[in-house]
Amino acid sequence: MHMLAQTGSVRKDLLCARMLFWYSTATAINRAHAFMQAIDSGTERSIPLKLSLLYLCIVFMTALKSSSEAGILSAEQSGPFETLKVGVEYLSNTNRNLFHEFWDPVRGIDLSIATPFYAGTMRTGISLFPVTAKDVATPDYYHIFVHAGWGKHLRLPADLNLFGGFSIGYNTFILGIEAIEGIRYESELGLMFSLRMSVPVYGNWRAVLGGSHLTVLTHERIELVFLTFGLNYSFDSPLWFRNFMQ
Amino acid sequence: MRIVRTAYLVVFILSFYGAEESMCASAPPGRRCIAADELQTSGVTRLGDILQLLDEWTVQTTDGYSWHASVNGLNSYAGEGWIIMVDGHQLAPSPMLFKDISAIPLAVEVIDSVEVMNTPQLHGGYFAGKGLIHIHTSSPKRGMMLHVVGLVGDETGDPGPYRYTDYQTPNVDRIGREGLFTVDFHPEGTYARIAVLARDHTFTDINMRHRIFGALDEDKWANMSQLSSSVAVGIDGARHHGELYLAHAMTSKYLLFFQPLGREVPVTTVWSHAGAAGTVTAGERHRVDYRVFYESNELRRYDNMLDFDFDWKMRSYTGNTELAYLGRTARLSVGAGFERRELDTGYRLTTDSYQVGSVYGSCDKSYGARLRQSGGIMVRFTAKEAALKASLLHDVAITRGSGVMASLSFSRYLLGEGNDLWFWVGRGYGLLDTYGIDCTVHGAFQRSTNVTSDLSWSFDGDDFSVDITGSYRYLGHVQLERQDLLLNPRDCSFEGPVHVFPDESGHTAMGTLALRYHPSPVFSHRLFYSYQEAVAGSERFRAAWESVPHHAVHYSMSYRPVEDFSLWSYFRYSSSSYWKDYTEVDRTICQLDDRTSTVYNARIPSAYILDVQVRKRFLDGTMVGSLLARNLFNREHRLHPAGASFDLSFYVQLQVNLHTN
Repeated sequence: MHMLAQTGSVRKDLLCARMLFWYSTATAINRAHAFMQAIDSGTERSIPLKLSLLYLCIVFMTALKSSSEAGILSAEQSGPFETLKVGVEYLSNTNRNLFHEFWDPVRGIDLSIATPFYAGTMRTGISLFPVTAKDVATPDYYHIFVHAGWGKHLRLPADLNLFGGFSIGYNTFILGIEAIEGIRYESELGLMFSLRMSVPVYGNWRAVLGGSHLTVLTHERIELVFLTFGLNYSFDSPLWFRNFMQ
Repeated sequence: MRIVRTAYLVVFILSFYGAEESMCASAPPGRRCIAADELQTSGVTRLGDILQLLDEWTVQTTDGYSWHASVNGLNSYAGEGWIIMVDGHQLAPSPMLFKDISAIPLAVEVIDSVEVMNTPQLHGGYFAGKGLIHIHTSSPKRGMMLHVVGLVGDETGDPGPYRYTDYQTPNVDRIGREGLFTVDFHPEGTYARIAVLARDHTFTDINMRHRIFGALDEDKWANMSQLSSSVAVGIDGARHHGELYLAHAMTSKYLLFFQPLGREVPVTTVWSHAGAAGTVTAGERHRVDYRVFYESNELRRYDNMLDFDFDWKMRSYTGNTELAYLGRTARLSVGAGFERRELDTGYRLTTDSYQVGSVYGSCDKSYGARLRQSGGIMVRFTAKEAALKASLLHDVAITRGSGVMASLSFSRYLLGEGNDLWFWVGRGYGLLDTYGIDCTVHGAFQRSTNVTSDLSWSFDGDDFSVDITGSYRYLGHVQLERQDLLLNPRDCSFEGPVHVFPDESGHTAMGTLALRYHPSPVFSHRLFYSYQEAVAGSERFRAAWESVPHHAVHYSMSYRPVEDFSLWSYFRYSSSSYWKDYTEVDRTICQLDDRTSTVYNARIPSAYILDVQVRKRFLDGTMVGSLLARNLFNREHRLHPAGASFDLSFYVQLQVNLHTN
């Protein structure tokens, strides 16, 4: 009787958490689109910095609080390097600052691979963004961010998973400067903080929704906040990989 | 009690024999020892980084490549005379004006330990009156061992895509790229270690940019390149251990900041060293140490717009032998040494060589497990004069784990012992006259005198230790230079007549507190605080000490949850310092171009710096990768008024170690 009641309680939690996830996904995307449209139409010129990320944080913290109250928080389940997770995500830039006086909001993709790493997860990846200038005097460019970092997973109700972490990486800017004689490549280090929530969709596939904040450490700092969504796939790591990492 | 006493004696005797595996476990009082493990997980990517780990050493640099040190109150930045030794060889990979410890081709991975002497004492045939760093390398493993190390660094602050906008700023390129290749052979009874180091270093800081461009006639960043190599061949017999060491380093386009000229001068430096050092044992209680070295240092002209040529080549020949008696509770040694320096220059010198001899003796005795005393005395002499150096150290155990150590020293330095510019200018080295540098020497050069005393109390518990030290120094007849510098706005260089005051004296006091806490085998902290100040002395003496920060706080944390992975962080705070020579240029702006300018200040503000290193071994140690972030808070960190500011920088190092039997 007690077991049945508990199972019923978990199912209720599961349902609520998944509803919260999909609701927050839909709301975040909707809100990001609203911002974009406002900018494109010229009715919105100033968006508070990092508002989108703050919004996502509130969503995640709400989810975190509910799961914490349910007493089902836990860390990574696998041992170091036992699994690999490959992911692909779409990134859409949501903040506005000095950078956006010269270039349009950035959109791109991020390809990543992650593995359990002692007290957390090591994640490495590459983000690619084509960036379009607002006027002809400023060059368009391709922005490539190769990064590696560490983070921590938290298991939430309904098999939801929250990941928070940071990465350090190298940004390469391939400048399209047909009209300008000069240096074609620029590069600089960058730091990225991210929060991602994932939910199972099929087998080892999970859908991901999150936010990330990239700071490129140029003299005039480039601060980009992204809304991200995509898919990842987990599998047992091959033996050669485990041997190499250990 | 008997066990404790026996253990003490074992450690005591092992320290005499210099057994490498116990070097840090048996570090004698008055010395600090940094073990290999600590070095490899403490942000040391090149040898010069060791200086930043030494709590009692305060360092300054204009370019982040060559360093000057004020060692434990024994000298301000003027009059430095610290010694570098590697396996008994004294190495001086530096012409008279700077010390280039990083030019020694030595991988951090092959270092067994670093012994640091912060108080005056005899060591290896030298009187370490102004600090000494002795690097002990590990014995090559049987078979063949290969180390390949690659390092690249990057300082943040590039313009990025803003390059073609109104927000463009000068580029800040990579700050380090180096490769080190070491191979060890160790068949029966002998071994060889070959090392090759290639490095470049780019001088990018805006504070130096205009001066460098003006000197080089190149509208791009100056990029120094260095190639150094060494061969060590050792014999490891039952009664004789000896090592032949050959090293050569050539550094091209080094931008040497020459203070009398107030700017960087491009030079090519060439350093060569050939030497043999070893030990012959006779029975269980007697041994003979010998050391013979040849070294040459050259400052060659590198094409420059200043038409400046140091025209300097110094050769030195050094020999030393030491007889030691190793008793159960005492060690006695006597030794004699000889050193000859020859300066090869186009300037007409009154005498182009300098010869000095030395005789010395030391005694180290323990009285049970509670008291240990050691003393050393050395006389250095030339044909005309002699100078005495002596040190005495008492180490008393009060209770279990706690003890008091007291040390006293007196050292007098011969003219020419420091091998500085002014000694050779006095003998006719006419560099300053040739380039129109106005220089006045106020009085006759004197033999300088140092008197030091240190008193420390320490407690060493199972997981906690504390050390409190108070120090006093009298520095007499010190030679100090003063320049009232003005800014030349044309190229941001400095100009001003040089005044040399050869007879300045003063007193300094210093207090330090060191706490160590390692609550578990995988986690440890260390906190260090020091205060130092010139408490009395001439105005010029006090002014020279104002350039050394009074307060310093260091906090390091090491976390190594598994053998393969470590995390290290190092927080440093240093108070402000005041550089009197730059008083007239305080807050002066130098315009580099329409958009860029820089400000020079006589006062360097206080700074707090955080360094973090993550290190991971792969394939059971076959590969090692590390990521080091320096100045993670990205605070302004400047160590010299005319020098660079060291912004947030990242270094990535990758190492491959291969071993075959």
